[in-house]
Amino acid sequence: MDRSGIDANKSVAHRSSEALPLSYLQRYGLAVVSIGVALGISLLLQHFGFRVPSALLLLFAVAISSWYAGAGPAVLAAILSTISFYWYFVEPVHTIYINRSEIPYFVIFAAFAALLSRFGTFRQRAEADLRRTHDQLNVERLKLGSRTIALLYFTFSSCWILFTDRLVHGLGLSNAYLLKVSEAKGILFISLSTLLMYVLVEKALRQRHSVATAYWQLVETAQEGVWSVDAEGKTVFANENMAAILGTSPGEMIGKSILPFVPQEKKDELLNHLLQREQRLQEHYEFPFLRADGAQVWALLRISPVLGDGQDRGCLALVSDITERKRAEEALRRLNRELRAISNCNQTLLRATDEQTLLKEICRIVCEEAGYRMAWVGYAQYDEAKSVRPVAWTGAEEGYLASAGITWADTDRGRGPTGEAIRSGKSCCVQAFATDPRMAPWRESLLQHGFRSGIALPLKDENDNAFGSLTVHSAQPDAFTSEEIRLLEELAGDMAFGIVTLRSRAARKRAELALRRSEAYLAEGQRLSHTGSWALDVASDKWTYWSEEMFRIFGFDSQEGIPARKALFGRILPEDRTRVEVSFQKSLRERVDTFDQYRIALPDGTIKHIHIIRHPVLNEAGEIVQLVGPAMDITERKRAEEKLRQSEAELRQIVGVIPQQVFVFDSDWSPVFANRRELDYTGLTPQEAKSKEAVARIFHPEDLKKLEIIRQRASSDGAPFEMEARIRGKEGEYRWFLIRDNPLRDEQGRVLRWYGTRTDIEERKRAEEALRRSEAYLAEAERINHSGTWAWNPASGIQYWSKECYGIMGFDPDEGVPSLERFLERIHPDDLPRVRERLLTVAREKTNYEDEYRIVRPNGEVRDLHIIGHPVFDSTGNLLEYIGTTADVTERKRAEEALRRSEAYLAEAQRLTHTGSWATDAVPEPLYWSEELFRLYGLDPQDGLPTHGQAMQRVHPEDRDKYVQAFHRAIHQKVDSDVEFRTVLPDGTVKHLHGIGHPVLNANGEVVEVVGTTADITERKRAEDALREGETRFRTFVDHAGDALFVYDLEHRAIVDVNRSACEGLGYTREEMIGKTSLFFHLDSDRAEMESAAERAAAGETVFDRHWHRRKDGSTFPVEAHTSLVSYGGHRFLLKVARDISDRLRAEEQRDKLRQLEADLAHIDRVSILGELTASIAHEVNQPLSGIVSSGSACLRWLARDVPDLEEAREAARRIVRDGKRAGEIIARIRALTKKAVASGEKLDLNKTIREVLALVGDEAKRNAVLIRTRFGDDVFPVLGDQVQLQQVVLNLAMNAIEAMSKVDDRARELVITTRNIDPDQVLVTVEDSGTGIDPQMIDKVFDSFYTTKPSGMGMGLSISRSILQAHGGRLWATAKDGPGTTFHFTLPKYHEEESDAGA
Amino acid sequence: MREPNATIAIVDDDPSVREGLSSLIRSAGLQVETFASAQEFLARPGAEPPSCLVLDLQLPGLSGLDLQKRMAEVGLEIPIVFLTGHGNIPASVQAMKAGAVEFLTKPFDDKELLRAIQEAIERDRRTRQQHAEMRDLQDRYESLTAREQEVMQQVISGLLNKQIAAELNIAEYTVKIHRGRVMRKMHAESLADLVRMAEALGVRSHKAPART
Repeated sequence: MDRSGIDANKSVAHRSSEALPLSYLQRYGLAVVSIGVALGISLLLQHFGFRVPSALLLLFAVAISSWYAGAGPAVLAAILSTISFYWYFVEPVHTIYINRSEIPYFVIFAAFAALLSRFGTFRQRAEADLRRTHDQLNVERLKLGSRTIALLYFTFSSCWILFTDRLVHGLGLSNAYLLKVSEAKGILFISLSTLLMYVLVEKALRQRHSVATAYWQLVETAQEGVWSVDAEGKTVFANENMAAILGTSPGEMIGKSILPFVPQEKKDELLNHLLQREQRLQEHYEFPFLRADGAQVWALLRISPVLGDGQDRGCLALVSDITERKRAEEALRRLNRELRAISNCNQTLLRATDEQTLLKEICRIVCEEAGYRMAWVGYAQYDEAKSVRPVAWTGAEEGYLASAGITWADTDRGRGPTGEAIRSGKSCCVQAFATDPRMAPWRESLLQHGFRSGIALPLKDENDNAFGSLTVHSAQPDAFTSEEIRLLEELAGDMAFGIVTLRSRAARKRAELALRRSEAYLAEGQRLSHTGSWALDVASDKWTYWSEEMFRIFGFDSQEGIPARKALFGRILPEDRTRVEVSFQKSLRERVDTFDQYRIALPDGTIKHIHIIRHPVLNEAGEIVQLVGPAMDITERKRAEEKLRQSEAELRQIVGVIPQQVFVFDSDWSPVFANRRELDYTGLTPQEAKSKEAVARIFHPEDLKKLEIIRQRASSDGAPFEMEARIRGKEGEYRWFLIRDNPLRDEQGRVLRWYGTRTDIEERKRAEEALRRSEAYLAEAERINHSGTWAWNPASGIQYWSKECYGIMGFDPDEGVPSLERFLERIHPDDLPRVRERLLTVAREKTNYEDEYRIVRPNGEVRDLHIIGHPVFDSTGNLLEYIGTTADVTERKRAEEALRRSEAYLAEAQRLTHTGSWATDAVPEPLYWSEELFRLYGLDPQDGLPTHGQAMQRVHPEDRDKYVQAFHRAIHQKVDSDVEFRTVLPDGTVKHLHGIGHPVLNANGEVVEVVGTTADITERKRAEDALREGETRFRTFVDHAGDALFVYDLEHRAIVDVNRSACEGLGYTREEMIGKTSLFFHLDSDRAEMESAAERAAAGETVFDRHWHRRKDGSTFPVEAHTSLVSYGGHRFLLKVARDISDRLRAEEQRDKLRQLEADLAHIDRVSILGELTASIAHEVNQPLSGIVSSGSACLRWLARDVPDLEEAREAARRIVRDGKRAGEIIARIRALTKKAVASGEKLDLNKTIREVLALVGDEAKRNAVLIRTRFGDDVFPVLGDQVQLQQVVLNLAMNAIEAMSKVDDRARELVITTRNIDPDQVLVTVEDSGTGIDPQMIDKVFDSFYTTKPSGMGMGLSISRSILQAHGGRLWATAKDGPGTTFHFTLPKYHEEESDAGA
Repeated sequence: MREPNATIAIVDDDPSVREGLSSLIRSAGLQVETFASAQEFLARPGAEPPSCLVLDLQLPGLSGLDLQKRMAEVGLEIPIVFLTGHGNIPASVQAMKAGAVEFLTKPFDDKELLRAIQEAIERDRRTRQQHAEMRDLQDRYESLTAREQEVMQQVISGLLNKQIAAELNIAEYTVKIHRGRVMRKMHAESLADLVRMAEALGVRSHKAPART
């Protein structure tokens, strides 16, 4: 407050130059300290009894903070002071409670504190402005404002203190320290401070005001612009002049960025100058600014940097407008450049050889040397859109042209400078692209490419038509002065001239080339067509022109020049000369075209035919000036014509003499020519022959139609044709003719003439008809015979095949005679090689040929063919061909085959059965022997039938009589006879034969034949022998059998056979035994029984029994015997097979003893278990007994009452009876178990059986706290077994289980018994416990005898149980449970009804 | 007083025994309730416990001895007559030690059983009477004020009024008044009577431990 603004500024600057954090620390420290001091003073004053307005002190501290430390600290101070105010002065009791009446003070205080802290920020802003602008007056203005506010505040705050004190006082509130403020002291203090402040402020104001005004006036009146810019490039200050330079107002500029006034590309440069280089204190710097309206303005800047603290640097610049000067300099420079450009362009024009290079070069020069941004040349296109095609460009084109789409049509895009220039033919200049409306379509693109103005200059051809434009774009607006435009127009004109020149030069070159080429073509054409051309000057009568060919035609040397007319004339043959001269003169005279053909003779004697045409050429006056024309060498043509004429004459002669009739018709079939023979035959006159009707007159009506049709067709397709037709001769008879017509065509293929011949074929026709008829007959015959005829030449293949041949072989007659190979394909593959071979042989040997083979028809059918062929020789003995027949003999073959087969079967049957068949006459000489019979007699069928005597030779001598006898019987007694005899074959083999003969009688009953069969029975004989041998073997076998065998003849009542065992067993010899009655070795005691057994056996029963035999020595032994009836040979025998069973019986006895022992053991075990159970059983019995006793006592007591209660007594008695029975049952059960019962099989209900056992162990279980659970299957099968034994097993298992669980404390003691069916016929019982379990290793051991884990056990229980179950056909085994304990399982087979029978 | 209609509970798993016993006991003019197992008995409804329990030693699940033990644990004092199928000396000794009235072996003599039951009923009656007296005594003791109880403790310790007054820091006269009230409230006819009551109640002189 007591310092001037400048001082304050400096001090602030000084503070700020120090490190920033320290500065902040200081400033915030100041705020805290000032509040602290205010608080301290206030408290100190209070303590010493001075009551001062503490609020005021605090606000004062806030003000100090705001003033010297800035906004942040001021706010902090305001907050601190508000808290302090509340904490220490409003509520000194230190409770968080504001007396309601004090709220207004508090609020107002807080508001003022806030206001004060804001005040600090006003000041700060003003200070910053001051630093940046150096505008002293502005600074003073702001300073003045803030001081005033400070003053106002103090005044107001003083008033407030006074007012609130008074208010508080007036309201008479207690508990407020303000009450104790000395009013007078407070007023005095405030007044003093206010006064002091006012005085200080006024003084400072007065001091500063004069300096500021001076500065201000200086700035306002300066000619130049004054411009102040801060570090961020924002305008801090600008005077009116400055604003005018930039085309705006100071208000628009101040506080805003300077960048809008700076061209984009110059931005960095300017910022560097303005802001970065502090060492240049005064700088003269020229810079182009952009005015607000977009125009460029050149300014001279004199810049001085602002001296501020380290960070806040800006600058102050004096600015003067030097645009005009700049523009003048620029124009001058540009003119210079353009002049230089034009000169360069002219040089280019002179040097240019092609147009594109020229355009490119000029564009380059315009751009680079004249300094334009872009130049391009466009040619007007005469297309629909009238587009302008850019052909060359340089500079900053950057794709602009491609997108511009410029035209020269009168449309939007055609009204640009380029379009305008082309249309009007005048240069068109646009000085400002940015504003000119014509540039609207391209503006954005133009500006983007940096084009600001442009000029288009038309390029004109020699006719003054604009064919294109040179367009130049400049980077500056208004770049084209009139001087510049003039220069550019000149440049464009030069350029157009250059282009036109280049173009015409090129055109001339092309024309020359074309001319030269066409001349060459002409010469070549003349040479090829032998045509020359010439010109003759009439006046001088000399050739003015001869083409090359002329020289060649007329045989002159072109080197020697054109010959004189005379020389040429001399070459013409004398007989033609006159004619030539006449027509030549005619052309001259009458001025018309004439032509001539004449011959010339060349020096070498060659004659040439020349065709010449003369054409007069007239001048304007109609006088003849020249003769011109072609001369053609037509020698070749002439020669050809001559030759043609000659040949035609010859032809006519030939036609006249040939035996055929010859015609010529023109294209519409009008006869043109008919030869002599035609006329002779038809009797027509030549005239008649040439009329169109001639044909109709001579042709047979039927053939005429055919002819017309054929002619029509020929007319349309122009093809030669052939037909047969009948033509009438002059005598009126028709004969057959073959007509052939051929067309003559012109070059286009059109038919000009038809040349035809007619050949008389009448004789041939007749022969054909006869042949056809005879062939038909033959074919029919062949068809009936299934045979075809053929002719075959070994050299050339099949010559002829009748129709039937095709049918037989399966070929199509329409396809003609097949080749030999195709024919051979038909032959059955099996026969083919043979057939080939045969054909070859036949062809070689030329013999008759006969063969049979099979063919396979295409449908797979196999046919048998029989072929016969005969060779036919010519007179010299050469083979002409084979002719022959092919017959289909399939059917016959088949029949033969069938017969053969049935014979074969018969033969096979005979062979297999070794049976031969035969027939003899009554002598008996053999008539027929089957093959097998030959074999049986060992004769060869190849040798033919043997005689009876020969056959007899083979018969075994011993049997010959029998043999003869047999025949005798058949022949003389006329009965069937049979005989067995032997034949001896040459190799010594003897065959046993069995012959049967049957006499065959004729009608008179005489024997005419004997037929019969003879069978080989050697095998049978052999089998019989083998049988006999077998019997011997069997005998031996029987003798060696272990069992004794006896055969007893029932009829003779004697032993007929015994075997060795029988003898040895009984101690008799075979002889001693045979013949005796069977019973002698039986015991006497058995005799009756034996007899009855024998009877039963005799009745057919097989008797099985046991009895005793006595040996010779008197000892006896038991036997087991089967006795049965056998009968053979009509006799009945008893066969007894007996076996000594003494050993077996002994073994059985032994086993019984063992079983008894086992049973005893089982009993012992049972009893021992029961011993263990005694206590339980006693209890079990005791229970019903206790019941009985109690009930009995009760009964007595009920009866003994004064009034006997009969009902109760009766009830008690009833219980006694019931319990008595129950006790009885228990005892019975125990007895049953202790009884040493013999095992018996009966049908048992397993569930019931087990339940009974459980009743016994129930008490034991209870004593051991074991819970018994049953899971009985409802449908468990009944089983077959001994109840007591099975119960023993269950008892055993149950007791073991209970014992196994007696030590168990940690789990339920449970005994679970399950029954269920497992197989269709098995029942499974399991007994599970939760006991200590068995070591899995030992689980099978438990079933061993004397294995025990119990201290008191015998180790027999499970062993016995297992043997009991095995005896029942069941099994017993144990498994360890998943959890603790063991499971015992046993199975029993299902009870079947028949078992009971078996068991019975 | 309850003898004629005293209730006897029978626990036996064997129906024959149960029914026979029931008939027999009813013929003696007593009411009977039967149970097939210990659990069934423990689940018995009704507040008034039976006067006697005829209990089979071998019961499925909870055995007779187990039940006896269980009852002792819950403080159910019912005299028990044990029955057993076969004499088992260790078991009988254990049962008698635990306070069984009788241990009978089946089949038992009816007179012996009924005598045992009578004894049990008698014992039950006595127990009930003792319980009633004790409750009465306690009621009386609890009717004393805290100070009176304090004084009573001093008195039964054998201290003179003067000593008591000094001990309790009150006037001798006041002690006398308290003492008189105690005697009257406790229905004690003499100091010895009071001492006996205190013993029954378990009230001890607070000085007693110091002296020993």
